[in-house]
Amino acid sequence: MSEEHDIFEKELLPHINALKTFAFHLTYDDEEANDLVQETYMKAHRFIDRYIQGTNAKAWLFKILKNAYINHYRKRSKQPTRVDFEDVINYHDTDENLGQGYLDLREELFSNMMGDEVTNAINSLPIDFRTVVLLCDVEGFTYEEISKIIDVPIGTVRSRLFRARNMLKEKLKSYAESRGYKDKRSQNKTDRTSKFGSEQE
Amino acid sequence: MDEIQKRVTLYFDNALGERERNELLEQVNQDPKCSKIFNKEKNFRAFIKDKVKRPDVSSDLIQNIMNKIRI
Repeated sequence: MSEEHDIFEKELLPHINALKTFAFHLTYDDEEANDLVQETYMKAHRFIDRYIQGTNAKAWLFKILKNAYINHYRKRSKQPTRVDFEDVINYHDTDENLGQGYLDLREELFSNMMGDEVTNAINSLPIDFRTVVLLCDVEGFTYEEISKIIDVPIGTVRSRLFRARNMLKEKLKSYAESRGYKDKRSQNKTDRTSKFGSEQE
Repeated sequence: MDEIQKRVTLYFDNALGERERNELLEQVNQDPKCSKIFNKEKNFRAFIKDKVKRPDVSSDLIQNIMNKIRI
């Protein structure tokens, strides 16, 4: 076996599950995700001389996949959701909103919520927000690694993560409420308002 | 952002230094409010990681890739 094949099999191929998950959540389609993963490995193999053995293979592969997606798949995406961050004006970007957006879900609700609901919530995020959640919260990349993978400054990574998580929590909260669970704090607030209102009448 | 929440977020993002991590953990052990924020964030992160769909990688996909790179 050549040294290149050895590197490919021992350092690159073990990340195929993580790549498939990332590709699936970018494309929403199993077949397209497979194509994207395959293209990623073809490119990695073609440029394997640029990879330094023993370095961060996973981050390198994710960057290749992200670029492949941008080049070939975004135009064909079934649900184009890209937004400019400037257009998301101060979404959940204040201390007050952080508190409100923070889920107060019960433990049992967390445990009972289906994977499909979480997947749908993640997939409904605009692409740039979805990407940072997948890279950080699902794959465990650091801010620095994410910054290199998606070519944005670390401050932007943090800002996107902050907003993405709050959006995700809001979406999960909506799912929870649709299943009959009411946020106790908002319920209490409603109760107090109602009581106060009746006392005024 | 609330200072404790900010530090908890950085903790779970592995973005705190060792001293800051230890200081936060000490505060979590002593301050119920901090502990609540910490556990809530911990549960949220675990929840996302556990529940997100991770589609199978078929042996065909792996075989296709290996076949192509052997050409």
